[in-house]
Amino acid sequence: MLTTMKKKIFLAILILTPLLTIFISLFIGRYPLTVGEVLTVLGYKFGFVEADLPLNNINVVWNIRLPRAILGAIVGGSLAVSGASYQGLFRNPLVSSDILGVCAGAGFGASLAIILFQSQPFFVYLFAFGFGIGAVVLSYLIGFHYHTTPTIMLVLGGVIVKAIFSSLISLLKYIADPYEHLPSIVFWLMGSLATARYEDLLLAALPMTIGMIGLIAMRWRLNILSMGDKEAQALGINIFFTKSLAIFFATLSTAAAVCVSGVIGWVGLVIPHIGRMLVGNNNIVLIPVSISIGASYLVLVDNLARTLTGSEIPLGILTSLIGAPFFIYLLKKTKGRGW
Amino acid sequence: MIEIQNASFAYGKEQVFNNINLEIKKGEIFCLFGPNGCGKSTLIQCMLGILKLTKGMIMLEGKNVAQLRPFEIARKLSYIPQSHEKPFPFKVMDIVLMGRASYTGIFSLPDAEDEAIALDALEQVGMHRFKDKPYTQLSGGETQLVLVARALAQKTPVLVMDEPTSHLDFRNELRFLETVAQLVKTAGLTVVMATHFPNHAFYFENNQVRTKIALMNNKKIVAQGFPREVLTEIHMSNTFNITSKVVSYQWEKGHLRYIVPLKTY
Amino acid sequence: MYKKKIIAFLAILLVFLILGCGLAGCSSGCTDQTPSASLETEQAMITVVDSFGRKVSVPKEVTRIAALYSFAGYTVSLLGRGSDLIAVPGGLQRDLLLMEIFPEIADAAVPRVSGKINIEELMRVSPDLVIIRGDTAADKKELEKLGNSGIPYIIVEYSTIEEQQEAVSIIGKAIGRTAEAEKYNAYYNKILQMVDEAVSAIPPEERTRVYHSENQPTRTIHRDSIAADWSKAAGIINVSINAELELIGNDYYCSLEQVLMWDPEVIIANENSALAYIKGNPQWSGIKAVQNNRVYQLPLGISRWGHPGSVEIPLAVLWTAKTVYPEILTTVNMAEEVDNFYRTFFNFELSDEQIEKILKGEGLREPK
Repeated sequence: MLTTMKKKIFLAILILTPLLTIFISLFIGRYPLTVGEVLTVLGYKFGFVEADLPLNNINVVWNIRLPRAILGAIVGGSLAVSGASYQGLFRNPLVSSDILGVCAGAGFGASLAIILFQSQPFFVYLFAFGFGIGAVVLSYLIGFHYHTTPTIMLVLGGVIVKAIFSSLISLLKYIADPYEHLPSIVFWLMGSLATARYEDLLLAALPMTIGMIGLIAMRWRLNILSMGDKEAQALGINIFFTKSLAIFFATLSTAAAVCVSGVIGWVGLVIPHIGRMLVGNNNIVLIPVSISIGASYLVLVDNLARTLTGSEIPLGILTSLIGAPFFIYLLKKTKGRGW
Repeated sequence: MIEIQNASFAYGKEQVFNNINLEIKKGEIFCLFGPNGCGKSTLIQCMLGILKLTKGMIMLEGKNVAQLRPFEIARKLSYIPQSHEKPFPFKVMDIVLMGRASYTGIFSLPDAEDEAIALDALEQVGMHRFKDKPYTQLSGGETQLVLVARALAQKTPVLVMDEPTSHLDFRNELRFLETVAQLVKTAGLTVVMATHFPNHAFYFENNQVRTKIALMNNKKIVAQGFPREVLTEIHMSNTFNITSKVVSYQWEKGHLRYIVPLKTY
Repeated sequence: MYKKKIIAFLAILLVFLILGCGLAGCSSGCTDQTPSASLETEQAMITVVDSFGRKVSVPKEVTRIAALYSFAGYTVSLLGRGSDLIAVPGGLQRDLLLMEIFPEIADAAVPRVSGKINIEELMRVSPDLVIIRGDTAADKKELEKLGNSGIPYIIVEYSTIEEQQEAVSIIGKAIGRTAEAEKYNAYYNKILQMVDEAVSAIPPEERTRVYHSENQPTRTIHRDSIAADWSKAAGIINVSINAELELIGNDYYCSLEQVLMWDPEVIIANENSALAYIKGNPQWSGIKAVQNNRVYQLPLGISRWGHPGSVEIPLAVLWTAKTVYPEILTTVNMAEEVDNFYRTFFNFELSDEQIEKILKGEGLREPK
């Protein structure tokens, strides 16, 4: 076991890493601002500097880069932690945050709102969030219909629900006006933080934070759930309640993440694995580490997304492009034996 | 300690066992013995509250198991499964600590006291040297001992085991039986153990552990009592369709009994 | 058992629901089936050379026109044959003004959905001329389907004003409205000339830098589009046409920081939700155009003025030049121009209220 001092240092690193990446990302972007100019804006905003600054400088640093980086961090942390939790819950290191169809459901909800409400952001969030949760509830009802082997039934429920919503998304894409709605749907489905504003942050940060805190709080229970239903119950766990609660928190954070940033793949799969490689599989440590790495990772990838070209590369594309080869490397390194 | 009264269980229409009555007393090893598919594992899962009886009841220290909450059962009964899948390479210590779950709230972590108890349990089974090793790297016998340590960390009066030696080699099987016999003798624990091997019951009896055995066949209890009473050539013949011989041998500790299978028919 | 029944029931309900939606979608397009002209007489044919240089034989007297692309639909209407449209792109049925002028469009079939032609639906309405655009023609399977149907089709495609005028002439010839097409092109050129004369007085270094938002705040204009060409005609510097843009689907996007770097003096947007977003979002608040309150909505008549498929591009050029440079073209009254345009080409008299709506860009397009 770690000594108290070591624990404190460890905790400090966990918290500081995402904060540092957020800070760094304030300096990165297409708009030409010197380090000094960015620092001046920060000094001005925190009341250390009195200055008459160009409004665009303030907006770039404070209203564009900062909310975007914060949102990226929360979204990354949420996706990573729900991925890690589902991996424990389903006793399978290869499952990801959308195993129960939350992304497919949210994608459908968002596409529907784009068509019905002319892409009005509020409705897009609302529908994405609602349908994301709805999809999980549906998987869950299918999964718990038979009481014998709930885990496998849950996975099957997820497969069914994902299939239904994916085909519904295709149907909507088919119906959508190819010149007005289709591009928005495609853009949304690929994921982006480009539209991040403080309003979006307020809307989505609450469910994501509740989800993350909930999973942190019950992280030891995730260890026990990963022993399988029989053993976990024999160890004194109320399986149904504990599992439902874990799924509830994980869904809350994933659905909210997906509804502000679109479908960002691979974070929920790859990040927990990096965590496992670094600190092992004990969820007591793994869960906070996943949040920290996930948050930093997404902010970094988003920095790439908005600087590589004049415009925005959708995040989902980059996370998959970076995530997939990295995953192959991990598998090769461990020869498929786990960490 | 445990009383099973008129217990029946069915998956849908398929009856697994019917009208079973058993009594397990404190400080004894109670072996459930019978051919494959006779319902031993199902009965054990009913005792643990994982499955619910379709009829009858199981009383645990005077309380109906069906009405106890999981953590209440887990403070009385600990469980050592027949086989254990290892989805993640947890450390040995992490596994043993899980025995403390029933004493910990849903949003809390095991504390220093829990760690001390877990370490103590590991020492009892002689596995403390392995505490920081990933348990995926352990042999089958070592894994089973770690699971015993986890059960001990649960601090329950009763240990329930479902064919715990089925994946162990010759030496590890003996080591496991020794450990169990030792625990019952020194710590005063009660053990319920489903087994395929009649000689397990004889092993305990030969080593002066108070041992009872129930012979299960055709969905019911055919016979119960001390191993020397139940494990007779006639019972073996009726239950397994085999010819066998119970041999006995006098040695310094007393009477040594074993059953030797001869041929099937 | 009971639960199982409920689930089975729900599953069946879902299936019926999906089927029901499918049928409902069909029934709106399947009604009032008009039997095709079965007495097919030998008709005189004419040859039309389309934008791809194909020589196509089309009946001299076309009576049933299928426009599978919005520009074609608008142009056929502009040339006075909107009531002969028997198939249109779905978007046209949301252009309220167009529908008011040609109510028949409401009943036209919509055989092309999501970029694919439903050939049986197209054949059902038995058009004698189909007009498609370049990207449909780029899909060999679509062309094969059309070829197999035996219906003559012409392809129109343009990315400059000149090519658009040619496209109008091609369609004019194919539907027997050559004179009207020439009249429109003459009007088009007259407006261009008038604007050119007015803006040429402004030296290049005093030209205004304009950002053009297309449907969404950061969706904008690419150099190889007609919008790039008409913004040159309007004498403005369109900031996005020399920039590196991101292509998503068929559209080009830029990043927000890029817009801030351009720091345009004027922003024009063709969609009021985008306009509201730009005006109300603190992220955009430091941009010159927003600070000086120079964010304008492009008008919307039978189509969005200046949109790639629009036939109101001459009006868009005039409006943009006049809006960006209020000191020139002072004698031009936009309301009169609007009134004149729709009266001349659509033979339609707009109410004052409608003119105002067009210029404000509000309310004449039904949200989907």
